Amino acid sequence: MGGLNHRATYGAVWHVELPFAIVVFALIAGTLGVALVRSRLRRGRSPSHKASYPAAEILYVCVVAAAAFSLIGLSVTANASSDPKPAVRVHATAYQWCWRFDYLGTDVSVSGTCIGGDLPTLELPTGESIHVSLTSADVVHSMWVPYLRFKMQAIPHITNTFNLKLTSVGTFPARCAEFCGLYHYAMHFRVKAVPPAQFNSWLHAQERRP
Amino acid sequence: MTVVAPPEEGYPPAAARPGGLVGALTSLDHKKIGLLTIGTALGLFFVFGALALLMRLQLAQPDQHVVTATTYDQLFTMHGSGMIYLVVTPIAIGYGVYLVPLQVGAPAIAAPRTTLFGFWLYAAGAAAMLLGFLTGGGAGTDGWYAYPPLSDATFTPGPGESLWVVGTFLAVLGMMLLGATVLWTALRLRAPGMTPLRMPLFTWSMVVTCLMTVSAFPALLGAMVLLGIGRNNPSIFSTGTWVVGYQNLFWFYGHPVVYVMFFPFVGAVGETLATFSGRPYAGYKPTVLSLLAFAALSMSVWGHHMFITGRVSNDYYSVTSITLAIPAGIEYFGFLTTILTGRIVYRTAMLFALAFIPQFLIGGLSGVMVGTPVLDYNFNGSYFIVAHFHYTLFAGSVFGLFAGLYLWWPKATGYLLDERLGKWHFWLMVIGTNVTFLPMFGLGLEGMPRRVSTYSTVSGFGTLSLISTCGAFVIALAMAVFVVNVVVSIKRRIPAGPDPWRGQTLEWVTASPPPRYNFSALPPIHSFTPLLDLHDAEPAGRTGPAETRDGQLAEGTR
Repeated sequence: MGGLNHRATYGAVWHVELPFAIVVFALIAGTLGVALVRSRLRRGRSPSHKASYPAAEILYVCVVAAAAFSLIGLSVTANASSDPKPAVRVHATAYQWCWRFDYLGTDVSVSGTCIGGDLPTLELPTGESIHVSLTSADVVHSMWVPYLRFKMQAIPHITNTFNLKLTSVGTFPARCAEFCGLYHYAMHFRVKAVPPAQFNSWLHAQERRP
Repeated sequence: MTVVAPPEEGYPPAAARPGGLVGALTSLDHKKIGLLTIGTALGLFFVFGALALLMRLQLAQPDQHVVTATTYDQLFTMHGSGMIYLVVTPIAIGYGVYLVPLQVGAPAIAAPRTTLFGFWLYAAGAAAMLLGFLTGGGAGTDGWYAYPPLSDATFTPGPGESLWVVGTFLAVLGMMLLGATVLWTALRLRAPGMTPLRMPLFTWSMVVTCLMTVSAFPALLGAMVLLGIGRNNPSIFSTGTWVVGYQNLFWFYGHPVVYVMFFPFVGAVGETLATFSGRPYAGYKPTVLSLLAFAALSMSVWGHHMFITGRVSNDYYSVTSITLAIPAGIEYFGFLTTILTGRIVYRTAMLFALAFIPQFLIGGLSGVMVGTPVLDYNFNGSYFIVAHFHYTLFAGSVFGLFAGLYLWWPKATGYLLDERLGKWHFWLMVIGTNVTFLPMFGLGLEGMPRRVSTYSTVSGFGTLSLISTCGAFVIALAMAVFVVNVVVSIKRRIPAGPDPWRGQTLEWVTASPPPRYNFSALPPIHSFTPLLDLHDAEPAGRTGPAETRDGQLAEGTR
């Protein structure tokens, strides 16, 4: 589902749509300003009663349509998914009110209580493609890693899947983004990106623990 | 004025009805039903606005506990549901109940008893929803969209959420009935000479609004039935089918309702811009066409609220959602051309209408962003969304609401509002709105989820949250000024006369407030601005709205 490097895909689209929005806003606010000034200069003269301006309007609609279709093209292109062979598979379960991460193919499982600050840490290798399957044990939650610019709903009785790739080392806060009851505000976790070698030794160390 | 036969014969005498409170609450006069609806909703606007102030107090600083988490959940649930189901939708449709019969030259609304019943359903719904506060567990806590299974009896037991479901059902059903009778009035009760393409812009905006009301609102009634079942037998949600099914039903209503809360105010803004530019609205026909296209498209975009469910076609909903930019663009062409070629008179109504243009645009442009799946993956459920929809609904719709309120207040009450207080109201609103909601875009980009009752110091959300809270209290101050203005208007009783603004449409031809059956005579109708045609036929060289000093308008301008 979706691309692999969500942060990069998001960045590419955001860096087109934000300037686009600013330019459109400036054009319309500018026109509004012109109208206000012009009206002041024309004081004493009659307002036009012309019903419409078909030539200008057709031209304008063409420009708006071209802009809209370009944005649609950009949006749809960015939806393209890639499905590489994942190096790590994680099964994430959201529940009221914390997270459990099972590393598939191992018996390693990470969890916490969330409330009181005991946050689970999802440790992942950088540079590798990671496959996440996501579900919920009770109500609808949403797994949001703001650093990745990505979230997905965790829905009971349904498993959603997505791929991701982390390009740099670091620890990133992550949160539940779908209201899920009383302790929704505390349902956080961390994503810790480490070099693959370090990840593998961490995983093995976890496996050896009873 | 050319007089057509007054539609007096065949109507019962107005004096046959009881007076006083009973009379007010049982009147079949569309004007009274409209004012009851708008008045109730405006009263609730203050109630649910106060809940927002409490939320902003709680969020002003990190780790703050002005209220408990349970209370906070009730606050955001009741603020959101209240504003959508009980305030903005009812005012939007209430404007139609009051104005559409007047604008089309009809003596009454179609099916007045159904209309009154619609109001009563709405009032009962509001009472049921608010009654939740008096129950042991408090009011509803699951947000305005109450996704199951959180909202079923297992995860949210107690009468508060059940009352919320009942209240939502009743209020939405009531609004559907009101919408249907307004639609019927515009389609079937127009005065002789008023062809569809001579209906005023506001009436057209109500026609498309009511088309969406009757087509989309049943989906929410279905969703509430589903929740009603789930609150008795939660096993209905024991497979994923109805968990996602509910989201589909909900948003099939949930997106069109956004336009139900928006189009009537586009109409009000259009009428205001035209009136205070002293010219007919520019590009009337393309605007009507764009409204119809907008309404049709709006029925096909609901999945963009569900990109993050992983259960909808991202490509399809992205195409339909971003296509909305085209009809929206056409509406903007009309706004801008009207003021570019007119002569602007800065009444308070006009200021609200002018501010609507750039402010709603921020909501619209951020709407393109959230219609783009890869961006929505970041924004959904965050404060970016909160900022986005408050720019559409508050900086847009509520500003349009006040443009309409300042424009039509003299018509409905017979008295003028004070212009000086009106301008204070306006400028405080502009400052408050932008200081409150602009920082929320930043909070969303920084990773703050919505519907959190508190946040930690390390999250870094403190500064922008504090700024936002300050803005909210400026809005509160603005609303206080508005209340003062209303009180002053009622006390001072400066008569407005039938047409204080040099209006363009039929409601300005009759007395303020209009008599029971609206008109004693109608001018000939040859365009969508019959009154403007009448003014133009006059020999005197009046070219724009009366330009006397604030609040000093002479009674009548014809």
